[in-house]
Amino acid sequence: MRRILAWVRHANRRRETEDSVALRVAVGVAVMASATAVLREGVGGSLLVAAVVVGLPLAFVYSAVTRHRSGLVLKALLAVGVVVAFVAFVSRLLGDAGSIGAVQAPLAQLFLWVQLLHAFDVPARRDLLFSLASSFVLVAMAAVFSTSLGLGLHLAVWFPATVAALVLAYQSRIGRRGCIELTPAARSGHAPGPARRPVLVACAVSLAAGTAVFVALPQVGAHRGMSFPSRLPERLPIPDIGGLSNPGFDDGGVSTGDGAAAGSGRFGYFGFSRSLDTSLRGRPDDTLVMRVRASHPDFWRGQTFDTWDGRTWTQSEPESAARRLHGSSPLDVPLRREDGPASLGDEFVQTFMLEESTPNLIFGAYDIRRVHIPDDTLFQMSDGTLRTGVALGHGAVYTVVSSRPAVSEASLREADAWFASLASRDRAGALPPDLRERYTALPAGFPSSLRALSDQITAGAPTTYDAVLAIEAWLAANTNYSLDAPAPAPGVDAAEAFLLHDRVGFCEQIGTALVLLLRAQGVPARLVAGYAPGERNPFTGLFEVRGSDAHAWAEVYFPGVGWQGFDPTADVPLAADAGSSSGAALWAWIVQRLPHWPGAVWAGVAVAVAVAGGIALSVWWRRRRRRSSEAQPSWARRQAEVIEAFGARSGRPRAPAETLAGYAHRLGVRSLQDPAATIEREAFGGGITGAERRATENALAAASRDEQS
Amino acid sequence: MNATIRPGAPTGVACGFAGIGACLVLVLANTGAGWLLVVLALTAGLLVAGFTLAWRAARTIDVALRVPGDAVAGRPVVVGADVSAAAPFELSVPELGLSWTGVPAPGRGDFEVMPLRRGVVRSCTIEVRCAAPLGLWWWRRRSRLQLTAPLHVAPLPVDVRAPWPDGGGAAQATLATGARGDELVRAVRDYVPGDPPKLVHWHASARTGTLVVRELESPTTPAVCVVCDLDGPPGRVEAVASVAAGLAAAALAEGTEVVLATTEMEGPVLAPVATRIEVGRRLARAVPGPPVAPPAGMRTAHAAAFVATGLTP
Repeated sequence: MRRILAWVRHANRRRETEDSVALRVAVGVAVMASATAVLREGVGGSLLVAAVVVGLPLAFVYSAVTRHRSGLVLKALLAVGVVVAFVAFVSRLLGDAGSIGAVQAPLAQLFLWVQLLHAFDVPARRDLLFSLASSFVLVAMAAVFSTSLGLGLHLAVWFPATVAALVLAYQSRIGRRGCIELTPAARSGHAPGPARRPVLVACAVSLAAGTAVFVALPQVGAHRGMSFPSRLPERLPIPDIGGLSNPGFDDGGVSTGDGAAAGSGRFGYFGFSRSLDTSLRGRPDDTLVMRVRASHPDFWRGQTFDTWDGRTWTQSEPESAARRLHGSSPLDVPLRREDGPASLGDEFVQTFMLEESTPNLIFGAYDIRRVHIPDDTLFQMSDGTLRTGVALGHGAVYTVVSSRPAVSEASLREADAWFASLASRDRAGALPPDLRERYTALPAGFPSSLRALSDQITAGAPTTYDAVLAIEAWLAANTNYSLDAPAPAPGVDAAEAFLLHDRVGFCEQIGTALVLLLRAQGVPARLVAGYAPGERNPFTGLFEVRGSDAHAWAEVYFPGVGWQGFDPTADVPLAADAGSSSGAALWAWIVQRLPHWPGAVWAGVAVAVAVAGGIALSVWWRRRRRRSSEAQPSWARRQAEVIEAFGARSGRPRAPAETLAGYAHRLGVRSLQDPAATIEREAFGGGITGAERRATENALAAASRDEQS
Repeated sequence: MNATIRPGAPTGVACGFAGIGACLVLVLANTGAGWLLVVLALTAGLLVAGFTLAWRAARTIDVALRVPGDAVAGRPVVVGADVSAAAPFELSVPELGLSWTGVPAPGRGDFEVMPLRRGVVRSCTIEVRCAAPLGLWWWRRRSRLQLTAPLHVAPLPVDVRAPWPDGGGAAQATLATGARGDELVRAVRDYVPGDPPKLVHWHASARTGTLVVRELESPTTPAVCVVCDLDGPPGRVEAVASVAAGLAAAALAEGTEVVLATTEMEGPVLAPVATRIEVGRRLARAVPGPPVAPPAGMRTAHAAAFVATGLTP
C-alpha cells in the first residue's frame, strides 16, 4: 500500500510548468479538431456539444493562465466531474446492455467529458502530451463512426496540429531550464530556424510515409464479427405484410408497353418487384442508395425469379408462402431445402447503411445465415431471400452474416460426376425433383432456335460448369452491352430477339440469356436481382452502392454444392479481388474523379508536372549546396582558428590585418610557422596534398599539447 | 565527431501513440472502418518520420569542446563548445559531470560543467542523443574526444585550520614544522660595537674572556611536507585527497613552503608545490601506492603520512 501511495505521489508530483504558448495552442487545436470530429458523428446531446465547443477553448485558456497555481480545489472538482461522467457511462451501459456496438457512443461521450475536464488542468508539458494522446483516441473514435468524407476536414486540422505540438514539445524539452545556451555563430552549420520549418518538414515526411503505408496496406473489412450495428430510425409497417414494397419504384415494374420503365423513382430499380420485365428500358441514376461495410466485395442479393414467360420473369411462389422468422435480433436464418447442402464456409459480415428508401428486401451476399435488425417481422422466401415487415428508409442500418461456401473450379466440375455416381434414391436428396422442375422450366412456346443455340454452344462442354463457361464466353463474344438496347417488338420472345437478332442488351437480357440457355440443357438456374458491390471509398472503406449499381445476374445449381452466382454481363469484381490494396482503391477513386480529358491533354499535364518538379528539385538542390558551403568552414579556416586560439591563450590575439604566417612568426613558436605557411598555401589556391594536411594537423595538435604541458 | 549512430529508445510519446495504434488495429479488424485505416496510416507515417528525421538530425551533430587545464571536483568549471547541428539535441559528458542537457541551437559558447571525480581527464566521452523534430525516437552518437591538453581535476580541498605549529588542528592532522631558523647559532665572533646586547653569548664570553656575540642563521621559510597516502578503502581515498589538498592550501596560504609527497602512475613523487594549481594537479595525478617517505631533512614532516591514514575529514 505504501508503495502504491508512493507511486501515486511520484506520478502526480509537480512538474515544471510549460510556458510555451505555441505548444498550448497546437495541443488545443488538435483536441478541438478531434472532439468536434466525434460530435459531428452525432455523439452526445446539445449539452455535450455546447460544453465541448465552448468549454474546451476556455479550459485551455484557464489552464494556461493558472498553470503556476497548485489548484488543489480544482483538481478535487475535476476528479468529482470525472467520477460523475463515469457513473453516467456505466448507467447508460446497464440500461443499454447488449452488443459491443452499443458501448461505442457512451464511451465516446465519456472520453469527451474526460477530455474537457482534463483540459482545465494541463500545467506541464506531460499533461499537454496526455491531451494530445487523448485527441488521437478521439480521432480514432470519430473514424470508427464516420461513413462520409467529412472527417477528412477534421483530420486536415488535427494532423498538422499534432505534428506541430510534437515538434514544439520536443523543443520545449530541449530548451528547458538548465539547457546549454550557445551563441549562434556563422561557422556552426545551418541553423534550425524557427519551429515553422521543422513542422512543415515533419508534416510533409509524415504525410508521405503515411500515404505510402496507406497505399501498401490491404483494404480491411470487418473480419471478425464483434460489432453488428443495427438501427431503425422509424418502424413503418408495409401495407402488405410479408409482401414486397419498392418505394423507389412506384409501380412495381409495370411495363408501359413502349419500352420505358414505369415509376417515378430516380434510383429505384424495376427488378425489385414481383416481376421483372426485360422489355423495360431506363436505368436508375447514381443516387447513393446505401453504404456497405464488408471485408470483400460481393453481389448484394435481393431476390430471385424462377418463371419466364418470354418477356417477363416472375416469382412462382406466392407471397403468402413467405415464412416468418420468429425471435429477436439477431435472427438466425434457417436453411431451406432449395439452398442445397449447408455451407461450411467462412462467415462474412456485411453492414448495410441505407441512405435512401429501399425495398423491404434484406440485401446480402449468398448465403445469409443471420440478420441483426431491430425488427421481429422478418420473412423468408423459399429461395432464401428475406423481407422485412417494416419499411427500410434513410438511416436504417442492418447487419447480415453470410456463410460463403468454399468452392473451386474443381469442385464445381466434379459436381456432375458426383451426382452421376449417386444411387437413384440419393439423387433426389442432392437435387430435389421439385427444385429441378421449378428451375429448369421453360415456357411452352420456348423457341426451338434457342434450344439449338444452347446445344451448339454447350456441345463440347463435359460438365455443367464448363457449359456455363461456354455460354458466358459465347455471350461475351457475340453480344454487346448497351443501355440503349432496342426494346423487343410486342409479341416477340425477348430472349430470342436479344440472342438471335439484336445481340445488344444489358444485364437483365444477358443474365436471362444465360439462365435460359442453361435451362435448355436441363440445368437448374434462376435470375437474381440485387446490387453490384459498388465502389469502395478508400477513405471510409465502405462500398458505396448507387442506384446505377442495381444489377441482374444468374445463379446455377450444382448438386452437392448449392447455388453459385455467375455474372455474364460485366467484369464485376468478385471475391477474387478481395486482397486489393488501399492504394489500388485510392487510385481508382482518384481516377474516377478526374475530368474526362483526352489522353494527349493528360500527357501534357504529366510532362508539365514533371518539368515543374524537376525545376523545383534543381532549385532546392542548388540552394542546399550553397547553404551548406556557406555554413561549413573550410579546412584552412579551421586550422587557422587553432593557431588563433593558441595565440589568444597566450594573450596575443591576431591583429585584423595580420597574415597567418606573420602572426605565427610574431607568436615566436617555431612549430606553428610551417603549418601557417601550409594553411596559407591551401587558402590562397596553391593546393596541398593529403599528407601535408595530415602533417599540418599533427603539428598543430603537438604544439597545443606542448603548450598545455 | 566521428561516431556511429545507433538507435536509442522510443520516447514515451511514441510508446503511447504506438500502443494506442496497436489497440486500434484490433478495432479496425472488427469494424473495418476505412477512416481508421487512414488514421493508422497517418500515425504510422508519424512514427516513421519521427524515426528517420531524428536519424537524419543526429547525423548532422558535431560537438567540439574546449576544456580548461584545471578543475576542482564538485565545483563548476567553464567549458567552451562549438556545436554544429541541424536540430536541438541533448548532450552528455560523463567524465565532466554533465548528464543529459539540452542544446537548443547550434553555435559557440561557454557552459558550466561540474566534474565529480578527482583525476586526470585526457579524453572524454561525448554522447549526444537527438529525437528532433518530433521527439518520438532517440538516436544516439557516442564518441571519444581526445583533449588537446589534459584536464586535471583536483580534489575539493577540505577547509582545515593549519595544525602547525601547535601540532593539533581541526583535521586532526599531525604535522610538524622544522626548527625555527632564528634559533640556530651558526657561529660566534668578537663583539663589534653596535651589536645588540641580546646577541652576546655570555657563556662563551666567560669561557674565552672576550666579549663575543652569536652569529645566527638568517631566517628561513618553515617547510611542511604533506604526504598524501591514498592507500585505503576506495570510499576514503577521495576524502584523504581532499584533506591533503586542504592542508596544502592552508600551508600555502600561510606562506609556508610545501612539499607534497604523492604516488603517481610513474612512481613516488616528492616535490615542492608553490601554488594551489600545482597542488591540485599533483593530487589529481595521485594514485594509491606505497607511502612516500618524507625527505630526511624534514624530520617532522614524517608525521604527515598520518594525514592520509585513518583521517576523518
